[in-house]
Amino acid sequence: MFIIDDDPSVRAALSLLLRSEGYAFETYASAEEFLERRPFEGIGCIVLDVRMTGMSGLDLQEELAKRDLRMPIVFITGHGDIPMTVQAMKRGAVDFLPKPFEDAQLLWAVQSALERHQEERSRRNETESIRGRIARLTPREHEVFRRAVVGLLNKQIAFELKISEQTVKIHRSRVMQKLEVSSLADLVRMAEKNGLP
Amino acid sequence: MTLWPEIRHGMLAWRRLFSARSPYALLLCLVLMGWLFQNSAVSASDVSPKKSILFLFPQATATPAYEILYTSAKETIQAHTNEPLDIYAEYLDKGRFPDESYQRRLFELLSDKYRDKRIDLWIGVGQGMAEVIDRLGNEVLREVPAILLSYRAPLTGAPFPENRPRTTGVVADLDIGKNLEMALSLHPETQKVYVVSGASSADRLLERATRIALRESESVGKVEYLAGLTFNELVTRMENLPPHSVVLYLQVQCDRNGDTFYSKDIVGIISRKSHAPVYSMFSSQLGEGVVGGYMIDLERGGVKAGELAARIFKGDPPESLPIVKDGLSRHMFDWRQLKRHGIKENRLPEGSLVLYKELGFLEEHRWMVVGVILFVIFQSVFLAFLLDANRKQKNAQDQLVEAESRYRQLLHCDRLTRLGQLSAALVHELNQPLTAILTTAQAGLRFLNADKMNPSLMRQIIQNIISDDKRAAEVLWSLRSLMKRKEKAKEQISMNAVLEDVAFILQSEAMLRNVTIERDLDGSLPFVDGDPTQLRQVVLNLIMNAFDAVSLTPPQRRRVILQTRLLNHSLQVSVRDSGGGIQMERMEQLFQPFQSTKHSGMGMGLAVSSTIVREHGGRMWAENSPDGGAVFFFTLPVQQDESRNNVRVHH
Repeated sequence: MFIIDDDPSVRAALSLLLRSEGYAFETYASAEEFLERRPFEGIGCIVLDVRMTGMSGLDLQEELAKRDLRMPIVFITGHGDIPMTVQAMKRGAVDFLPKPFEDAQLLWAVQSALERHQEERSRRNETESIRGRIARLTPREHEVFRRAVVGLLNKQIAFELKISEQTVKIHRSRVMQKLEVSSLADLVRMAEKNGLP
Repeated sequence: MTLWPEIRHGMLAWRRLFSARSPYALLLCLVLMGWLFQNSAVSASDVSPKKSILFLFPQATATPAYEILYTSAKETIQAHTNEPLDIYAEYLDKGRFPDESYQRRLFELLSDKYRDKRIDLWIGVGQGMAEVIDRLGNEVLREVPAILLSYRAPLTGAPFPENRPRTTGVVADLDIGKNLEMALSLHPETQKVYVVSGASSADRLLERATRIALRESESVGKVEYLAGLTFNELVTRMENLPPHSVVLYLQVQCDRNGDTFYSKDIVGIISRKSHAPVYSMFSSQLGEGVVGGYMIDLERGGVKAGELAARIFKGDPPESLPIVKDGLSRHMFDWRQLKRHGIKENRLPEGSLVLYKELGFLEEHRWMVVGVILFVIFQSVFLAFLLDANRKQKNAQDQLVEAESRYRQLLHCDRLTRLGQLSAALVHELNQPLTAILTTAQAGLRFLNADKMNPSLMRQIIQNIISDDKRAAEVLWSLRSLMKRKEKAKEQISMNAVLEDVAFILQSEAMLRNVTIERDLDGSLPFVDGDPTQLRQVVLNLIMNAFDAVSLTPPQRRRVILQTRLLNHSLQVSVRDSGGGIQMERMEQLFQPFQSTKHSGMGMGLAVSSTIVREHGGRMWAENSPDGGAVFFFTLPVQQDESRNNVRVHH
């Protein structure tokens, strides 16, 4: 958990609250200070003040997106920041809590942020693994794969690639093997996940 | 035996010393006197200023009613005496450990425990505490002044033995009849009143007292006693009360199975289980779910006991202090329960105290409301001022006194306008510590609930809350220092402090506008004679103007520099901004009223400020800085004589 707030009182209070629930956390007095830290690889969440001297919370959100550091953010804010709320939520903030907030509200927001991060991470891992498997295909297998998933029959593929139908069959079964799928339907689903065709 | 002649010899020597009018005698006298004096000084400082109090409670530790009595008594004593207190408390726990021999051994233990302790006063709660002390067998304790707190109902007998020496007390009347009447007047359709009590001997006694108290009541026919049931039976009865019932809760220390309870817990359970409104007799039960009642206000009881204690410590003999009997009971209600049972507040008896009110819109948005009201007041006052000024001009007979008062009004208006502009920043400034307090306290509660609290953590939490609270108070104080509207109040002030004060108020505003405030203050500045509120206003106006001036500058370069300098016969304050500077054609009218380039504001700020400075014998002007931006200067005269300068040294 990363607490970023330029107000020492609020920082101390949030630390106590997270500590009472047994979360591990780090505190930062500014967005700049947080950016100096080496990027965090694990599952986490940022509790972020909107108004800070120097870089604001929204600036930090933008900067993190630029650097492809996609940790969920729970914003906390004083009054009168409603337009910011819209902006922040559009960019994927998990929650936007007006100060003063209830402890349960914050803890709930933080918990759902962690869950969301976990989910995103596993989805990402899956996509990456599919990508990796597709990368193992030979150029010819790849050509067969791309045609198979749009519904071409072996005969058509053979015609397009100017090879025999038998060869297409062999390539096709190698594709299934390498991509670890057993049916055309699975193959199509996998192609969709990878953004093909 | 052989020593004897030597002593004789010694005595002879003494006599010789005194009988002869030798200088030795005088010397010895002096030495003796010195020794005596020294000795008496030592013994005086030996007596610790700390007063020791022993609290004696008949039942278990942490009984909610005791907490209230103890805390309010302690705080009252501390508020009245400046001496530190040494507080002891003993809980006899008679309800849960009724065994005679145990009680006897406990008494022996207590007697020994306090044998060598100096106790200045003891405070006993409930019936029979005087007897306990007298039975302890500790002679010293028996002689100590006593304050006894108890309530009186039929059958309870005298609050304490008559003519007990050095004893006074607080005795509340338990008026069960009045409580019932009040409940019935709020629920006129009531068919049945259930009086709930437990099975301990104290519970039984209270039940019998109630029977006697209600014997004469008109409503006696409606009353049914649910006394000494088991806990489960009681809960079942409460869940199945017929419509148009009212519950009058006395106390349940213990049920028929011998299980003991905190009375407060039971009343909470009953109130939740029953659809009927529940009334009770003691303020400690309010907040648990009871609607209210004609209750003994324990807090007030504790305060009265504390006041008695403070007077005893000041030297009043306890016998001379009359027993406090009046004003200890009052009608008290829980607002949430009134809502739940649909009871309107205007039907409550006069002088009722309603607690646990949830904040309505007005309370919750107090700042916003205050802001709006201030704005409206300002607008109307200003409008009135304009109309009035117009009429005055026609009359051409302005009276000096009146003008003066208008002038002050205008100054005040200007301050209020500024505050209106600042309100968002001030809300933020207050909201920060309030947020921290709420979150810290809630975190504390979570640690407690999870049994993870330890003293050092507790200390940290409380310290954080204290410092956050002080911070909020500081914001309010500084706000007040700006709002104050005093008639000519000149005092010795430090301009550096004035600048710092205003910079403090403006720190959030500066943050919101991304402006950096820099200070270049001359530490050797002497004090000036002036009105601090007015001078703060001048500085506030200049800095706010500077904020506006830099609003079009890129955020990294938005700077406002506050500077003070000591000149020959005056001190000079300047506020420099990194904005676009002032157009030459506007320089002329800068300090005239109604000169505004802004949409907000009225263009009175600089006119008011320069008038204030003039009134203080100084001068105000503006320049464009060679590197862009504007600088506003003002000077204030410095007293020439040496004594003025010396004042600085003392600070």
